[in-house]
This record gives sequence, structure tokens and C-alpha cells, in this order.
Amino acid sequence: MLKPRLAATAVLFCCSAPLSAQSLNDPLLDDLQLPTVLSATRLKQSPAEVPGSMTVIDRQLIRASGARDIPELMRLVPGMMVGYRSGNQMNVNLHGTNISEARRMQVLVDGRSVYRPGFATVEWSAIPLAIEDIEHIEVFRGPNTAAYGANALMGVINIVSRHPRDYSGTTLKYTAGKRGVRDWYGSQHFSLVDSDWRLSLSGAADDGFDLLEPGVDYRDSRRLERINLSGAFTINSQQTLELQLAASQARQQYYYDYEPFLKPLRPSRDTLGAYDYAVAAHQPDSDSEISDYSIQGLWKNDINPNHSLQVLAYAQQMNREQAWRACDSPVVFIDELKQLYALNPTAARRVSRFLEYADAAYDMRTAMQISLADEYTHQLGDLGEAIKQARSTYRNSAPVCWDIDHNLEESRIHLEVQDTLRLNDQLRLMSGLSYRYDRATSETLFAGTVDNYILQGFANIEYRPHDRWLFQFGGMLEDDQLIGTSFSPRIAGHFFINPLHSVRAVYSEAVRSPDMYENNAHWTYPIKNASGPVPPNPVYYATGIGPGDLEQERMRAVELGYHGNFHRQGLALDLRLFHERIDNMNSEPLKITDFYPNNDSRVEFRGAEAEIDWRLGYADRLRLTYAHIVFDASNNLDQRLTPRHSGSAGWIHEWPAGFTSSLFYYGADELNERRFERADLRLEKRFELSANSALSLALTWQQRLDDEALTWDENLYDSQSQYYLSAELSF
Amino acid sequence: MKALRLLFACLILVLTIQPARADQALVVLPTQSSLTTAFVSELQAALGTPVEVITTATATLPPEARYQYIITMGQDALDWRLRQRAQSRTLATYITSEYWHPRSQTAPPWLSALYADPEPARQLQLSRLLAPRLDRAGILLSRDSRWQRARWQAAADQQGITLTIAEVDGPDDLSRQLLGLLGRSDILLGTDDSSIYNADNLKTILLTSYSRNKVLIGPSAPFIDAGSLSTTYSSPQDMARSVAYLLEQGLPPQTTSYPRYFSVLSNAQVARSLGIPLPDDATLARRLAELEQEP
Repeated sequence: MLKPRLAATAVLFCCSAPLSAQSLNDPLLDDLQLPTVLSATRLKQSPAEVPGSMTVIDRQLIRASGARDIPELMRLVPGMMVGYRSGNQMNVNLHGTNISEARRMQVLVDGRSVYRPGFATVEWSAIPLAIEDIEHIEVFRGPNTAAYGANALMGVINIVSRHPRDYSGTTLKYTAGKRGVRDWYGSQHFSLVDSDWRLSLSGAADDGFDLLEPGVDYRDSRRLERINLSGAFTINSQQTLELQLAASQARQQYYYDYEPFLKPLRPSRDTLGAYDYAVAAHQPDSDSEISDYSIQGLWKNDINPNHSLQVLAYAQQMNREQAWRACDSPVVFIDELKQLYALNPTAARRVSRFLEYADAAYDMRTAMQISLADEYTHQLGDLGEAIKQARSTYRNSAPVCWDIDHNLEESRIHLEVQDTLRLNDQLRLMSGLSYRYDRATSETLFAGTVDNYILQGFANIEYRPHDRWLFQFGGMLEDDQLIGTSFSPRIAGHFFINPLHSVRAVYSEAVRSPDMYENNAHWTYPIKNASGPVPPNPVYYATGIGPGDLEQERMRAVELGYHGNFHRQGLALDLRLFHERIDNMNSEPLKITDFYPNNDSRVEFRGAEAEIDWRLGYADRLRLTYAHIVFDASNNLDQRLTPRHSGSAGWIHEWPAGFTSSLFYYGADELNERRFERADLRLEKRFELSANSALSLALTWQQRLDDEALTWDENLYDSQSQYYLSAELSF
Repeated sequence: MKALRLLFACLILVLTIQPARADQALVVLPTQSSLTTAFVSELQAALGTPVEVITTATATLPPEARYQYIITMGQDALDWRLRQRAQSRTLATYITSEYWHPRSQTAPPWLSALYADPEPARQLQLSRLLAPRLDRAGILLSRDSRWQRARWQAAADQQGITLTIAEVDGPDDLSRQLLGLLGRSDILLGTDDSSIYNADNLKTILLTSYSRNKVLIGPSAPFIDAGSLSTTYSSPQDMARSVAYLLEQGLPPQTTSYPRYFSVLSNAQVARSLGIPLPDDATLARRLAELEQEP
């Protein structure tokens, strides 16, 4: 007798009907043609495998924080310093350097860089994405040029919007509170053939900080509106296309933004002339209006579960309109001043200052000799004296006034192809190419247009020789038409104590390319529509000129870290020791009368950071962050921002009956030389109106626990407390 | 000539196995596939005796007295069997509860069913092994699978897990219900409902839950490669042993049950990406079996 197995086979072979495509006729048993959705190329690295330190601000935190702006959320990131300049200019820096020039971090919105090409900063208010539409924010703390290119020098903030696939129905929200807070938001989700869409309209307004004197408002209010249309197409089971169209318009108040060469004479020193009265009275506002437009597309093709290709393309344009009328003495057009400025700009600045104080008896030559010391020459002294004489001539004349602007157009086109290939269980390779075109146009700042082409090739290899070891090698080769070629490598090694606990060591090199303003500025004031005693063919005495040969800033960083996930306890812990050093740094303040960028500065940061995220149960979440940073900076402008101790603590609790409370504390011992401590409480009550509609009412209360200004003296409020209420209806 | 030799060889084989014993089992297949071959082979091993095999292409049942039990594989074979007049005790295997439940009311008395889809209690137990802090498990149901609710609820109650439920009203409603459900659940449990868990919806379900760091358990083995974290399932060997067990028990009539024996299949890449410690599949299966033995 045959063995049973063979018998059965034989029966099947001989006696069954001809084989057909007929099957078990059951979707769960059949060879289901299921696409591999979470493929090896699509899965993100677990926190224990990231080649560096990553903080993720998820939707729950975003909502619980009550934050109205992305920078305020950054206080939840260890080592992140958030400050304000001119009241309404938000600045975000990691670890430190100059607070006024937050130009060492890359910021992306769904892969689109909003780090501006002309002025290496981020116009946070103009980002055309409402906080309600953010899914999460990933913050890579530490240099990441190897993956994101120059300017990801100190870190990367990657803002990821909610996918249009996620049904969001209709949402309407309004927030109002003290300090003129009036925010609104409305969004609608809709589906078309093979595609999902979300249209969001939103706006925000507040009147910023208050002045020291009661009743006088600090001119730093802002008002903005945004529109964002986001769509996702399913082309087939392998391919998707995501589109995003966005625009925003922001109006921000500024005080008069022109410093006359000849300031009104200090009243106590001498008899004032007509000029002094006129110039002192001329203080028009220099409010700005920024519009931002972008279009982007992302095509993803999962060729097979181990191989995917994606193409990202976007174009964006930002226009700033800031025009006003400036007044100065006719002295700014005389040859002696031009000669003095050309010979020694510091001398020109000193003369301007002496003239603010000097009475007729004051000897200009002596004053210059004392203040310029070795740099003093008789020629400078003669020019200074001539300028003093010229001033006397115009003492009682009207000032010259003309139209002045800081209008600027910045645009960028970027195309990036990225390929992810999993070769086997040990080896995964990500590589890509990108091409970027940046352009900045401003008559005042660039005397026309400056443009730039950047070509990048990048790769990252993940090699896992053993369960306990992971090595990652990454590199970015970048050719910048204005700056030159650079290569930024990174090497990271992980040892896994067990799959959820790893110890890491990372070495990386990173660069920042000087922006167009630093390197290629041609900043002067063309005299348009002039009035007053204007000489023929007036030419402004000062021009700030970028040297054109600035080098890249170079960072070398080492970090040792530990990431642990205590799964049973719901606790994630990340610890990190770091040492960062930036050389070739440009720390010079760039003023039209003092425009000398260089590569002479350096800074070093050493310290430790910790982040604990503990989900005690579904109803409770505790989160703690702390950063201890020691710095050594060669330029005194880089010595102010960094606090030695900073951190945050948060507790979110879901109560019965639809109540949620969140309590946050933020603290820094010396944030730009000022203590900063704030406690935020948010209470939310959710009413389920029907199966598919709900109303949420929330109160956010912020209480400053100290009485210091926020980063700069003028950033003060009348009261230590702030609150706003919001109502959100979704159906 | 070649054809003749083949025919001869077949004849010899057929003659060899013809003298069947009266207690032999007959397996009815819809057609031949690697799965049916493996099942039949495992069944013979589990029973320790050969079984006779026919396909639904056969016009009628052979004289029934020869078989103590008839075992059908899948829906087609079951339908075919239901068209026969024979009263032989029959066990329908490889059918899903989704398919069988609506038909079970009109089932003849000689029929018992063994489901192929994972047992809810077992899936919940597996979820708890993978997520020890599991409080709330979410399931998506449709109008057609609404009846499963009681089954899941009973299993959840027994294990002290809160069951959160969302009912999907057509494909356009999936995303809305899923998002709401994920917001109040720690994990998502796949249900035996092909109107929800199919190739068209899979991307939405997996990507939406993954982006919120929530995992999908089940609904069945083919979903694991696609991106589901883990599931219990019954391999041909498990199914054969489960059938053999039922036959040894004398095949209680008119009963439906889940397989006694099972395996676990998991996606290690998904677990790693989400930072979930994942024991190997054999350990999980053993642990689950131990838990089921506990009183």
C-alpha cells in the first residue's frame, strides 16, 4: 500500500477535474492579492534606531499645549530656545548662537524647506499651515546636513501635516482672548474619484507685547490669513500622488526702521535747530506685509516591498512689502561723508554719534583720536571736521526725505528624487539627488536679483550585521554655485542592549552656507521721490556689500546617547551627551553702516539632554525634558542666548465626562540673559452632540512665574497672565 | 503510448487504495492546490489512516456507507455537499464565520462547522501578550458583521478589556469611523469582515493606524505581510489536528467551533519600527496555548 500522502496526491492527480482557477472562494483563505502597505521602505526607524536624537511633538501634545504658533511648541523640545525680536519676529534656535539670527536650522513643511534663501531665517508667521492641520512635528536635535543638506547645521524641524486621507469632516474653530488674540479656523474634507482633499482656511491675530508704560501699546501686533488645499490621489496599489497648494498673508507692525546719520541733537547739549525738530518728529511706521505662496507635489512609487522611489517637487514664492518714508540730513549726500565711510566705516559711525551730542565747541578731531586710537589718521580727522561743518550749514534747513523700502521677493524651486532599497535583512540603502534653484530680488538689499543653483547627491546606508548592532553611514555631497562644493558625512553606531534599548554613538560633520544677504548683499538706499534740500543726483553715502567669498560655517559634533522603551510601563526615555563645535562662523551683526560678515567666530556647546515620555495609562501622560548646556563662544553676540538649565514638564489627564486637563511648565534660567518661567493650564470639555458631531470648549491660561521680559527688554506684558478661550465644532 | 502508461499507473494507484474501510473519512475539495494537498496529507498523519479524496467535480457522493465522516474544504465544497442527499455526518472546514453565520440557521442536522478565521478570544489574548498595558481594544464592524459584536464583547469582558466599537456604513465612512475608533483604542483588532478588510481598504486602515502608532492585530494571516502586526491562524497541520480532534470526540452534531490548534504569525519589521517587543511566533503560540489550558 502506498503511503497516505502519496495516495492522496495520486488521487488528486488522476481523478480531479482539470485544474482551473477555481479556488477556495474565500477572501480570507485565498491567495489574497494584498499590497504590502507597511513595506520595509515605508516603515520609519524606531526611536531606538535613529542616528541622533529626535523629539516628536504629536497631535495630543500639540492640542494639549494650547499653543497658537509652532515656535511655542518648540519649548517642548530639550535644548530649543524660543524668543521674539521686534515683538512679533519669532526666533527658534537649538542650543544657542545669536537669537536675532536664527539661521542655523532647517525647517521643512511636508518636505518643503521654508528656510528662506535670501535671508537665512524662517518667517514662522507666514508658514501657510494652521496648527490644527499638523499631524506631528519631528525635531532632529543635532546636525543633519548628511540627510538634509547645508543649513541643517544645528537641527531640523520637520512639520508633517495631516494626511488628506484622514477624514476630518467639517471643523470650525474660533479662539479669542487677552492681548488681542483672535484666531479662526475652518476646514472641510471631501472625496473625489480616487482622491481625498482637505481645504483649510485660517487666520490669527494678536497685539503682541505691551509697553512698559500703561496705555501705550507696543507696535508689534500681527494679523494673518492662510489657505491650504491638500489632496492625495491613489493612482494604483503602488503609486500615490500628494498635492498641496498653500498661501498666506501676514501683516506685521514695525516701528520706523531707519536710523538717520544725523540724529536730532540731544536737547540738553545745545540749542536745537529746525532740522532736529523735524527729524525727531518724523517717525512713520514701517509695517510689513508678507505673502507666501507654494505648490508642491509628492509622487511615491512602491516598486516592490523592498524598493520604493519618490519624487518631490515644489515651487514657492515669498514677497515682503515694507515701504515707508525716511528723512535725514543732506549731509548723507556729501562727498566727505562718502570718503570717510569708504576709508573707515567705524569712523563714520563715531562721527554720527559725536554729532548727536556735540555742541559747537566740541573738537571733532580730538574726539575721533580718542575713540579710534590707532586707527586714527589726520585724513579721517579732517573729514570728520568737514562733516561737522556741513551739519552746521544745514542746522536750520528741513531734512531730505525720500521713499525707502525693504521690499523683497524670494523664490525657490526644488526637485528631489529619493530611492529606498532594502537589499536584505542586514542592509538598507537610501539615496537620492536633488536640484534647487533659489532667487532673491530686492532693489534695496541686492540692487537687483541674486540667484543660486544647488545640486545635491546623498545616501544613507543602514547596516545591521547582528541583532545587537546597527551601523549607519550617511553623506551629502553638495555643489552650491555661489559657495562651492562640500561634503558632510555622518557615522552612527547603535548597540542594542535589547531590541528596545540602545546605546548610540554618532559623529557628524555639517555645514551652513552663508545666505545671499551675508555673502552677496548690495545694500544701499536709492533716493526716490525726494523732497527737501536735495542735491542733484543724490547718492546715499553707505552701501553694505557682501564679500562674495564667505566660506561655509563648519560644525563637528559628537554625541553619546541612550534610548530606552520600557514597554510594560509605557515609558520612553532618551538621554544624550553632546559636544558640538562650529568654526568659520559669521557672527557679525549686519547693518548698512557696518556690513562686515566674516568667518572669524567659533562656538562650542557641551551638555546633556534628557526626555521622558511616560504614558501611565490611557488617561495620563507625563512628559519631562531637560537640557544642561555649557558654551564657549568667541563673539559676545553668541554669548547671551544659551541658558545653562532649561526644560519643560507636562501632565495630560483625561477625566470622565469628556474633560481633559493639561498642565505644562517651561523654564530656563537665563534665556537671552533673562529668566523665563511659565506655567500653562488648559482645560477642555468635549460635548458629543451626536454620533458624528462634537463641540469642544477649551480655556488656555498662561501664567509667567517671573517678571522678566521675554528674551529682550521690550518684550514685556502688562500682566503676568494670559488666557484665551476656544470653541471648536466638528461634524 | 505515454498517455497509456500514465493511465495504467493511475489505475494501479486507484486500485491500490480502493478497498476502503467503513470508518474512513472522505475529504471533498473544491480543487487541488498546495493548501489542499498539505491539509489532506496532514489529516492522514493526524488520523493515522488514509482518507479518500474527491473533488466537487465528481457528480455525486460515492456510496455513503463507506464513510463515517465527510470533511469539506472551503465554501464550494460545502455548497456541493449541501446539494447531496446523503445524511453522512459532515464537518465543514476552511469556512469563515462571515460566510457561515448567516447560513447556519438553515443547516441540516448532520452538519458541523469548523471556522478558519481566528477566534476572537485568542486574538484578544494575543493582543494582551503583545501590549501588556492594553486597556481598550477597537473593532470595526459593518452592518453585515454586526452579529460578531456579542462574540467579541464576551471575549473582552472575560479578559477585562474594554471593547470599543465603530460601525462602518460603506467605504466612504471608513476613514471617519477608523479615526474616531483609533482615538479611543490602544490597538485595532481585525474582524472577519471582507467588506472592511479587503485590498481596497487596507492601505487606509494600515497607514492611518500606523501614523498614530496603533497596531492592527489580525484579521488573518495574509494581512501580516501587508503590515498587520500579528495574528493567530491555523496552518494546514493545525487545521488537520483540530479536525482529527473533533473526529476523535465523535464530531458533536450541529456545532460550530474554532480550531483547537493554531499558530502565530507576526511582522517583525512593523514591531521593530513601532518599538514593540516581539517574542518569536512559536513562543507566542505556546504561551497562548498555555493560557487556554489555564482554568
